[in-house]
Amino acid sequence: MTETSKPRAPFTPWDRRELPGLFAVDESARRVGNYKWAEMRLFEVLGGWVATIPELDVKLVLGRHTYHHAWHSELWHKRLPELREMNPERLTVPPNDAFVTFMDAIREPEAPELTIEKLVGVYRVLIPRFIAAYTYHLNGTSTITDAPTIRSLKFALQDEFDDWRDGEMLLQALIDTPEKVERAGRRQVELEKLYLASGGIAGAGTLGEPVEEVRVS
Amino acid sequence: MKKMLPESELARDERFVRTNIEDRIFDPRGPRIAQRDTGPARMGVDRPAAGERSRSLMHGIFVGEIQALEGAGRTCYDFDDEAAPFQLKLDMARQCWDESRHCEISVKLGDHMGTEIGEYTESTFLFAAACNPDPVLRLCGVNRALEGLAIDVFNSMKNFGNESGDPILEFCEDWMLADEVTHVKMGSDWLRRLTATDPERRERALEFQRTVDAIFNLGGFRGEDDENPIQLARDFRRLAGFTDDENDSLAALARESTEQAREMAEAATAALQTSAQGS
Amino acid sequence: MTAITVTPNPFTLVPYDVAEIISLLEEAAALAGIPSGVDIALTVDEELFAPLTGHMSDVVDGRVVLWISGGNFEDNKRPCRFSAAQARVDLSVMMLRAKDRLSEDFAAAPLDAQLLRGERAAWDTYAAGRARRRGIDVRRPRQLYDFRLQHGFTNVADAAFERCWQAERVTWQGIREICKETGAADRGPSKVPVDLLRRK
Ligand SMILES: [Fe+2]
Ligand SMILES: [Fe+2]
Repeated sequence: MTETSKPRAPFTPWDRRELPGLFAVDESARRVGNYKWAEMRLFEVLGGWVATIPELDVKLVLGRHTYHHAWHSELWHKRLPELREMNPERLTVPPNDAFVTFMDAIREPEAPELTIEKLVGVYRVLIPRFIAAYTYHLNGTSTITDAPTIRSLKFALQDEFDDWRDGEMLLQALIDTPEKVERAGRRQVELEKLYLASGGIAGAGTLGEPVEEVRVS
Repeated sequence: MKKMLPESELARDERFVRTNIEDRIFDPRGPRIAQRDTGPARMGVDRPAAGERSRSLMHGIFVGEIQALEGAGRTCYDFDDEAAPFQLKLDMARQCWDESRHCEISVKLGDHMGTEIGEYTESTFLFAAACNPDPVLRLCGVNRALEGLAIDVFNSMKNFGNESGDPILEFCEDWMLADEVTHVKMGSDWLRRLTATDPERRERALEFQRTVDAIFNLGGFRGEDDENPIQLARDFRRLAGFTDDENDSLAALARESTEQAREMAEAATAALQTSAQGS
Repeated sequence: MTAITVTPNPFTLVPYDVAEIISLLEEAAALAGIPSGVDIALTVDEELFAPLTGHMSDVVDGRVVLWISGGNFEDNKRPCRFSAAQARVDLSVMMLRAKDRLSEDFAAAPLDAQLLRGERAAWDTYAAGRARRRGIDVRRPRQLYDFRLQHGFTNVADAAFERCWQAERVTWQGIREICKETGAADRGPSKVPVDLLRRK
């Protein structure tokens, strides 16, 4: 017989989740809006590049990844109204002009011989930064109050890791001369400087400072 | 990167060779073959050159899938958020993934049939339909005309797989067919939503679709008779949101094209006979 | 001395070169071991284009009588142009089959126009496998697919294909047994004449 009336704790002994998190509702929504904007610009350009890339394997992988990032932007689009933003477009914005400059630079290459430049921008600069920004949010937000965001972050992160690996392996296969190593390196340095100037996908404080911890007393 | 990529700029490796349309138009063998019996156009193991004809069609499907992928990808990029709503772009991104899988499936099926990438020339007229600067027209050209054709092609291939006892072909075509029905549905839904308050724009889009459809019917390629290699898949079209009226008028259009092809063949025969008598 | 003739001579619809075809025929005849003194006549239907392909090899009154669609010689990437590489493959297979017909092993075989599609696919495979081992660039997956279309997509058919492909000696009786084994013999004669493309 199961004792149905015996009281049990609401949290199992191994459930160590805690109430306070780094972000209030507004801040979480602001970040989610920035994520959505960046994921949108990313999936658009991946889709646009497909036709400009002669390498068949890269073409097909980009076709697949286009959808992954579109889906992430959809997850964020759906999360925004749940974070009290009834007009999701209002928060679907870049964090600042410098980040727009950075994304424009990511999206700039067009010629068929620039596959390395295209891939370095996405897989060596942008996606590692998505991984960082999402991980920071995941680790910092309240595990109880912001659980729906966490769930989406985990789905998105799973894709980001897989896609990063796909892209990095393609790059390693394409970069087959010392000259191409230099090319890839130059491109990465250029873009990283622009990224630095923007502060990150969610602007300054993407990975912490100067956001202050919210205290729940 | 610029918006609106012309078909001439589609990036390909050195295996791919573009079809030169003049090669076909000025080929002196064309009119002569048109008057000869080369067996049923419908796919079947009993017709002459069954294997070679299947391989050639399979390669055509493969490059068509690449262009469908590229077209859907460009629709994600070519339009700003006002011209193409966010949800529409999400659908197009989903289509990118589907078409990317179709390319993969087509490569495997090509291996299965014994053809190689780039073995035949590539005609880029499918992508040309995806170049329209109006997203609604593009959607009609691509997601209703082109994807509708894909339904017909995959259904014909699936039936061929079934008749020839080829479980791999039948299996793959059935899966692709499911995706293409989804793509046509997207096209039908978006046409309705984007033109809900603009009947004039809807009519222009449907007119564009008819133009693209007419190209696909050219020379009796598609229809409901034995002389059409690709059969109109009415049931799957209905599932995808085409009305019976639309299917009827497409069938009529296809019959017209088949009739025109027949007349052209007869005219060519007459011309040949006249010149033979003259010489 | 062997007399080799090619019809038409010259070609009028496609820029195929008779001298080039004759030299490829000589090469293929040597590869197949056609005895000298056996005359060879090749008819090319220059009206037919790819993918309307097909070829036939018969022996009539001791002469090798060959027919081929112009589409077999056509470069798939460049319409109307002659592809020596493709011609070399098909002419080798044709000539190996003609050589079979010159031997006792195939004395009872009917003319190509009367063969069942399954018989033809098995015989082609036997010839293609030998051509491959003699250094001709025959593509096995292509041959396998054509074989399966007539013999079925089954393990039995695949095993039969393997035997035809590997064999250095098969007889007409052997071809017929393979068709019984795979069930191709039960399919009966083709509804569409197998020599339809040859009929003008
Ligand atoms: Fe497709
Ligand atoms: Fe599709």
